[in-house]
Formats: sequence, structure tokens, C-alpha cells
Amino acid sequence: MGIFLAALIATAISVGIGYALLRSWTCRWRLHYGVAAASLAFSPLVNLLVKKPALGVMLGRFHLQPAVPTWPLWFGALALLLVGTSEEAVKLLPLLAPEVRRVLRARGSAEPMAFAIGLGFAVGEIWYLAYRIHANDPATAALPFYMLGGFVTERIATLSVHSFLVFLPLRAWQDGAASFLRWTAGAMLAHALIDTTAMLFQMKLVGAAAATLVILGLTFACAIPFYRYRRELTPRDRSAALRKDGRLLYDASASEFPSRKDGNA
Amino acid sequence: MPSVSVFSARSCLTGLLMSTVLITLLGGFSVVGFRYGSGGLDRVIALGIPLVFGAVVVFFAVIEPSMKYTVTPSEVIPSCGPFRWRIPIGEIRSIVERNLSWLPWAEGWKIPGYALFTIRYGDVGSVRMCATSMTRRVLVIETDQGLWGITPQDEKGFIAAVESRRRR
Repeated sequence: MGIFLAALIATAISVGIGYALLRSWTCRWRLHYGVAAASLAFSPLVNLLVKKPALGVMLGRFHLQPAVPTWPLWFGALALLLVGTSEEAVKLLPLLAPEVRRVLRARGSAEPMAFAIGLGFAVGEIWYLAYRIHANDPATAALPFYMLGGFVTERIATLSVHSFLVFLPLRAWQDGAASFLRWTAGAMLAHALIDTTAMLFQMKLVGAAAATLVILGLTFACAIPFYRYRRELTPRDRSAALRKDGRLLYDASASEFPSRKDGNA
Repeated sequence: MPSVSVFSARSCLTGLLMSTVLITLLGGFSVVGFRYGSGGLDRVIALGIPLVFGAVVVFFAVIEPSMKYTVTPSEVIPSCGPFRWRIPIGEIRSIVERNLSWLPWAEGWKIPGYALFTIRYGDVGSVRMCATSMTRRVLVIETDQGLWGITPQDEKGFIAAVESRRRR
């Protein structure tokens, strides 16, 4: 049960971060929460319907064992490409929705949408992995939740990585089909490269400390576009946003103060 | 109306309280680290880090009560300790009182009851703050160059002072 409690903690933290950021980043937050909710299914779907069968076929074709440490390096690279291509492809499914495509035409809309998809995908992956650990490694699954801090931290860290990787093609969406395809391929390759350290660690070719450092560095690097993101407001939009929920006390363009007209001042 | 009017900031007790809490937490961390640290380096770290951060918190806590807004014939001058900014009255387009939408990671000095320097908000973008409130009941001055956030104690007097200068 410890693994499910750890999954619940990781989910609560991820959802808390996602809720706060999306709420402050975009006015269309209902659409973004909807996209995040729809993306919850992507990780289990791609793992069960694409990655697992494809990996089984590949292992059978090359007569290899399922245990990662027994794989030759070239097969590890092949597996990484499978992970990168399948996961990045499934994360683009929200583009099938006309409303999502319409929103993405606006400048500065890729970051919140990418974060919504990344959030849904990452949370779905938390529960898929928790289920896998529960099914395949009961000893680990039975550990108390506070012994599974690494799982929680890693899962929260992947939030920025998944968001960043889908951000690349979404940002290119406005620039036309060629750019979109180029950046989709780039995201798939980047996904494979980012996972390389984890794969080398599983193959026992790099130590835990080195793997942790690289993964942490990549996590922070992937968070940069979201840290730098600010809703782009023209002076006119800013003025409208400012007055929307505020009490106008002084207006230089008016001959008199509105508050005085109302008798409030 | 005098040619120069000075308006103090709204009560800054929350900011001072939060500063005290921060200083206490840093002090507690330092004492625990110093008491239970296993070696010399542990103790240096336990004292050094809170000392640096604590000095910054103490500095901002000390200057907070000096926060004020001076309205001259041509400018509004928000100031706090050694920090001082100038807003030409001719550039002011509007003044709106509103609650701002907090962003967790925006830069600037911001604790509940105390906001200084440029801080990004989720709803209106970057605001140059000199206020005894981080988000609530902030008077946002809209200029051609950007937004300013202040919290004068006497809001009506402040608005009247700006209006009278504008009409001269």
C-alpha cells in the first residue's frame, strides 16, 4: 500500500502545482484542465497498447531477455527510441480537438497547453508505474510511503520534462506543418536522449549519484520555458485586465473621477 | 493643497510579523544546526547560511516602516528605505484598486504584507511594487511605462493629491 500512498502524494503535489500555474497563466483554464484530464489516459494507453507489445516483439525478434541489464547497448538505444516516439506521439492527441488547435494559433499559448498535457500525462504515468510496481515488485510496493521519497521526487520532476517535450511541437504549430513535424521529431529524439541516463543506470553502467545529478539538471533545464513564461499582455489588454475586477479610482482620460461621480470618494 | 504631500503606507504589521517569523525560523535552524552539527563545516554552514538570509530579512524588516508615497507637483515618488522610484504624474493613465493574482515563483521581495521591486502577477503581468500588501487591496497605477503597486493609508487623499496636480 505504501506505493499507492506515495503515488497519491505525488499526484496531490503535481495537481496542486498544475492547478495554481494554469489558473494564473491562462483565462481559458477550464479548457486546459479538460485537456489535462483527457491526458491522464495517455500514459497507460501508450504503455499497454504500444510500448509493451512492441518491446515484446523486438525482444523476441532479437532473442533477448526482458531484464534491462542483459540488453546490449544498441538494443537499449532502440528501446529508448521506441519510448520517445510513442510517448511524444500520444501527447499530441489533444490536437485532434478543433478548440485546442484554435487556441494554439494565439501567441504565447503553447506553454500553458503543453503544461496541461504534461500534467495529465505525468499524473497518469504515476498511477501506471505504481500499478506496475505493485504487480511486479511487491517488496518495494509494501515499503512505507516515506521510504519511497525517490519515487515521489522523480514523478514530480517528470512533470516539467513531459511538459517541455510536448511544448516543442506545440510552439511550432503556429509555424506550419514542416516546422511542426521537425520539432515533433526533435522532441522524440530529445525524449530518448533525456531517458538515456536512466537507461544507463538500469544497465548498471552509471552510478546512482551521477544519474541523479544529470536527471535533476535536465529537469531544471526543462522547466526554464515555463519559468520564463508570462502571459503576453499588450498595453491595451493589460489596461482591460487591470480594470476588469478592480475599482477605478482615477482615469486620466475622463474629465472627472468615476468614484466621485458615484459619490464614493 | 501643499505643493508636496506625503502619504504613509497602510499598516505594515503583517509584513513585520512575517519578517519576525522568518527571522525566528532562520535563527532556530541555526541553533539546531550549531547544537547538533557533527563537525566544524556543519556548524559553519548552520551559522553562515541563516546569517546571510537573516541579514537580508532584517534589512527589509527595518526599512519597511519608512515606506511612503510623496506627491510633488510633477511626480509621485514611492520610497522605502534607500529605494526610491519616480512616476511622472503626466504619464499616469489610471489608478485602480484591486486584488492581484499571486504567482508562486515571481521574483522580487514578497511576503504576506510586504512587496517590493518588480513582481509578476498572473492577471496583469509585471507590477513594480512598493506596498505593505502582496496581493490584497493594492492601488495599481497604470502608466505608459508599466504598472506600479502602492498601498497608501489615505487612499482618497492620495487620489485627490494626484488629481489636483494633474489639473494644474
